[in-house]
Amino acid sequence: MLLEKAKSAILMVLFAICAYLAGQFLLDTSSISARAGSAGGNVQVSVNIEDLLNPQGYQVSFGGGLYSGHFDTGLKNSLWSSAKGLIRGALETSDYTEADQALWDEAVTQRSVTLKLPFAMTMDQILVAAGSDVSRDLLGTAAFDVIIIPTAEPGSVFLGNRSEARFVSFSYSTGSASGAESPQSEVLAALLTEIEQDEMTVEYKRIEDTFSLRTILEKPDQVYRENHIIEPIVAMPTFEKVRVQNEFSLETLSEEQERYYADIAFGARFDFVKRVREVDGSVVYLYGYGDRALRFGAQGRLEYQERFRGGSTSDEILSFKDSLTKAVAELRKYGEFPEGFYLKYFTETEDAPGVRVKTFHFSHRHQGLPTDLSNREMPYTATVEITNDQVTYLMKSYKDIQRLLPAAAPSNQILSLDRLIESQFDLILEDYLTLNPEAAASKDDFGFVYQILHDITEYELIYFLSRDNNVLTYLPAWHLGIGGNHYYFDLYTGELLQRVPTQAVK
Amino acid sequence: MDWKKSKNILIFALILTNIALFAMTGGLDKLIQRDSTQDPLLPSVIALLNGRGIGINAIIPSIPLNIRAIDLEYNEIEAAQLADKLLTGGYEEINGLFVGRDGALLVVALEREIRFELPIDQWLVSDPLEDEEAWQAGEAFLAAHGFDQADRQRWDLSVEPDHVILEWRQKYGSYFLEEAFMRIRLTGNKVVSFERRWFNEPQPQENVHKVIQPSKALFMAAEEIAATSTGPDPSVKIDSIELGYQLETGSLTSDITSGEASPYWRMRLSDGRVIFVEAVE
Repeated sequence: MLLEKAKSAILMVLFAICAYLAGQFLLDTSSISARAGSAGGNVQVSVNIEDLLNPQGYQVSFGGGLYSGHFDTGLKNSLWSSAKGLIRGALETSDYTEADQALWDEAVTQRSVTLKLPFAMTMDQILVAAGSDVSRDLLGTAAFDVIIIPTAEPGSVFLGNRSEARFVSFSYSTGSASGAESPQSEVLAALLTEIEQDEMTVEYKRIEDTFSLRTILEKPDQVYRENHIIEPIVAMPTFEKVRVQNEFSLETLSEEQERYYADIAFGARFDFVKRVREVDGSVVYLYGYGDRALRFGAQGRLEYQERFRGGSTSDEILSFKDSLTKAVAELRKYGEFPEGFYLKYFTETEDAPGVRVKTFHFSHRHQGLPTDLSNREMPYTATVEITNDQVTYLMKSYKDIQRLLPAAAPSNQILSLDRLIESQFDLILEDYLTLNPEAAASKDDFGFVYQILHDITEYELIYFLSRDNNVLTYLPAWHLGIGGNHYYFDLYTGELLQRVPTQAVK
Repeated sequence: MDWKKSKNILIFALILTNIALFAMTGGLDKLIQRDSTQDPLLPSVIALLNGRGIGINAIIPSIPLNIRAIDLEYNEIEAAQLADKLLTGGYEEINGLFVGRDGALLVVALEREIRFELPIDQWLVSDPLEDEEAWQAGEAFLAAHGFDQADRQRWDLSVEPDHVILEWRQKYGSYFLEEAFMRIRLTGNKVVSFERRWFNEPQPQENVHKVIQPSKALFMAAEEIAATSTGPDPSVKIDSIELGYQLETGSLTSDITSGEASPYWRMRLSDGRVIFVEAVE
């Protein structure tokens, strides 16, 4: 009887131990599966890279010296989508011929569409942008920043590199069998006519023509080089100032915000992530022994870095297209892209034999105008670096739009180019003479101002980020490039916002 | 009768279940670990190091299985207050640089790193002190200025023809704390320069990291010892092997003031080199 009681007791003890161990076991497995499930457990968002890789400047020539350079987004999209088909048609199959300056000048001035690319692209990259699956290295590493599609010659596409003065033309027969023009070039021609007839179209002229520069500056013994920069000759729509703010500030950075991004960067594997603070208040999360790091810096700048795991089996070097796709997908994990987000600049370097680093710099447009972050150290909205097939660096510094500031009074007209130069002439003159000391001799000459006008390399409307006492505002501004300097002037007052030497502008 | 029999069967079944569960929850591993107080691979690693000309002079710690995470924060220094103490003859401040009437200079970089120096014409021309006397002279200076924290340990003394350099490093219990130091230069018994960067009392955190065994740390150090070796003779001795903490740095970090430290094994070599090995896998 006693034995039976003891047995019952043993039974109960064994049952209790069993329950305890079973509990332990369940705890172990659940934490393991939690880890397994969350490592890199980020939402995969697919992004169409063609949305980010497209021309950033559109110019239409109606022929006869009239142009337009300001369109709404819908119109730009239509221009680009019909141009894409023509570019694919020409670049995918046909051969090219070198074109000279005269031919190029003719292409710019005749009835045509000019597309300015954000950076000089190789033929392959242009094909990617045009949505082609064809890869061609016909022109090797030669890169081009302007595409011209004349509508009078269907099937003809010009590529130009303005700084190297290299031009090529492609020409392909458009369905010669049927004798009909390709429908895409018809669409483009129709678009041009539509723009020409629209009352809202802002008409432009070349500075060249407005001031008759050729007549004044052309010398008998010299080859005269035309300048194709255009300026509006009628009233422009008004542009508002916009108050913006950084996504986070170090003063108000909350633990939730930090964890939100840290989870994206490291997944939920938080067992060996360390948080450190720096003198300026920046916060850095370090994973392991600094293999990966996430930094919350000043001015709302978020950076992520990962040590390159070289020599691994997956040591494949991704193509431009695949790298861009990967870069964009990674960046997208950290939040939606700002309006008008685009690839602005691209570089590729070889760090070591077999280790190629592709760096993608992104910027964004506000209401169709490019934004300039007025910060030479970090001029981009976002940057992603791909080493072989690994994301090794990522930076983003987006701005949240707060509110629109009251538009300028209707009487406030956008300053025209001649009034702008007139009001800032002393400054521009001084800079010009510093860079071209030999010009001082002809300083009092009548043609001197025209020489300056001829040396204009850039004239565009932009949104300039002003940082007045940490209050961030997008100010509508003129970006004027002359010779070696770039100026940013308030659109309405003509006040100088910033001046930078050309080398600093990418 | 039936009940008795089924009790026996139940007991037997539960014993088997418990053994299985015990094994599955890693209980066996824990038992084995508890048994081995000695690092099993240590003798073979030591033999391997000896083969490469690396001797071991140090006491190898018995295996510390875990290390607690700690938060470190640099001791903030009020520059003006320190100037009052160190530049007693009066001073002038120029953009954060304190210049004493006698030409002494004081800078507090990033509110935490002290650099104090007397002009060279105030250096004493005399033979260097004996080691112990030098340490005492240095420690007297620390005590006089309130820098005689108990968590310091004598780290290095180097003798030059006309001066002695003393260096202290910080410790936390038996652990070292890296990137914290006090350095004093003595001419005769006079302190002619002083540098200091120190942590406040470390704050232990909840999480605990599992540390690699000393044998593995030594094995990994061997690679680095070979890689950083400069002379033609690779033979060297490991004088100490310790576990401790260091604030992680990387290309994204600069001027860290506080944060969680990373565990490291630190080895001092007889030729003055110091090797760090990541202590957590």
